[in-house]
Amino acid sequence: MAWVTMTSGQVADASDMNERFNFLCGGTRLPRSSSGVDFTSTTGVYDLGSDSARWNDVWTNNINLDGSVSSASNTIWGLISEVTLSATASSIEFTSLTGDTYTSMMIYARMNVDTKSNQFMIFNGDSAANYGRQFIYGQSTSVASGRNTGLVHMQVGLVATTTVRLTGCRIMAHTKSGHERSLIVHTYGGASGTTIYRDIEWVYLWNDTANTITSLKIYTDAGNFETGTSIKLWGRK
Amino acid sequence: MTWHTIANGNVMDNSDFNDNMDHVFSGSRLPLDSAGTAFGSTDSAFDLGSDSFRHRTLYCDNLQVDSSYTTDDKKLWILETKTELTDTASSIEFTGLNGDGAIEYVAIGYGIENTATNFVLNVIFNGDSAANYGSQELRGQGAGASAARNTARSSLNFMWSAATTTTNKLFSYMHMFLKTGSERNTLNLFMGGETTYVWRIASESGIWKNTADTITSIKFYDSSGNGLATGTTIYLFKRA
Repeated sequence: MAWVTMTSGQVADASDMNERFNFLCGGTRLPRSSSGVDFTSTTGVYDLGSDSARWNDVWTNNINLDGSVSSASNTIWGLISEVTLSATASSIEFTSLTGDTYTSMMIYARMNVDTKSNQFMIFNGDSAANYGRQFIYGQSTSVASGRNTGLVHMQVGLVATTTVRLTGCRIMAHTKSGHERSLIVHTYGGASGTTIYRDIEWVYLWNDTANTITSLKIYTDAGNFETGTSIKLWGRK
Repeated sequence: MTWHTIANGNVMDNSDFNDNMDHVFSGSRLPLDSAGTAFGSTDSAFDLGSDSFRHRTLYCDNLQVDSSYTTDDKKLWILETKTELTDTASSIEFTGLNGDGAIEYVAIGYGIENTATNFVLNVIFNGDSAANYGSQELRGQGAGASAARNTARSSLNFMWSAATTTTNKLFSYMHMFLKTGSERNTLNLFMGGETTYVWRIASESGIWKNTADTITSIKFYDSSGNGLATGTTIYLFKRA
């Protein structure tokens, strides 16, 4: 099937007309060039609808996206960024964030560390004494609780021995400015085989009420994150 | 580029036909009206595909949706509704729900005490404030860890604070299984504090013994009498 440009003043061949309609109606709808000559397929150039001229419903079995998902009122959880280490590193940082746009963020982290260590998180590079927490944890049959104020970071991971070096967490954070920022963190510390060393629930406050969150950094206080360590950051979009 | 209407009985100029094809093919695909004359852009009038005639896969760089999303097997978590208080209030209620349709909901709450006194925000389903709820709690407050079980409660905790010297900010994450056929269950983790002082962390598992009624409303209400402050926000997500 070829596109044939019609010339003014000439009689159109019926087969050429048919091919045009095959272009228009047949098979898969591809975004095509606007050259008016061959209407070749394009990628990442054209939209379906516009901000002020929208399709009503899209009925499709699958949606395959290469870029972003957004909605008019932040109705869905979308992946902001994902880092999986291909080489050891002492920290993973997400930058160019807009905490006031997302208003809420979720983080899922699975961290392998090469030595006994603790893993911490800070916002906007703030390592002053602006964090506080209350926690409760279970370790075998023991339960313990504690409160700390004036912390310089928020602990989110724990590698308690040199041999059991896997830890992970799920974090739900209220990131909108105007009040203290709040976080709920659920952490498993030191997992190996069928043994979890400790289950910890921490809740945190960051007392900065004014600054939009633009970055968050997760780092280890000893050793390095190993290859395969993965952190996923989600936001309401 | 203009649209040329083809008149019956006339010979169509090929350049007019080219213009018409350019109209159809060029640039972004906008939903055009079907008048057959101007083909002006329309908004929210036409669908791509239908329930029984679907495209196979939608490929695009970005997806921008103004209203709702659905999947056949409820594969997405979508914001059902949210309330952010612009004035003090005693409750936030979400109505028009279909617990059997969504099956699971997640409520994320950010609460602000109205005064530096105690603050208790409870949750009930379908307006049921009878003794039909139960809970098991695990609490950490300072160095004190405690646990408690309560039966025949008239509500479940969503977030609360008994601190009387601070104007606490509270944060709660509650996952709810709300389908009929068995008791409804909740898992909740919440906290409260101010500046860098966190007063308490609490984990609560809850149950509502009603097995029959489809959940149509969830009400979060202040039982302390001190009210919810401006800025208090509750998001309700559902599987869709």
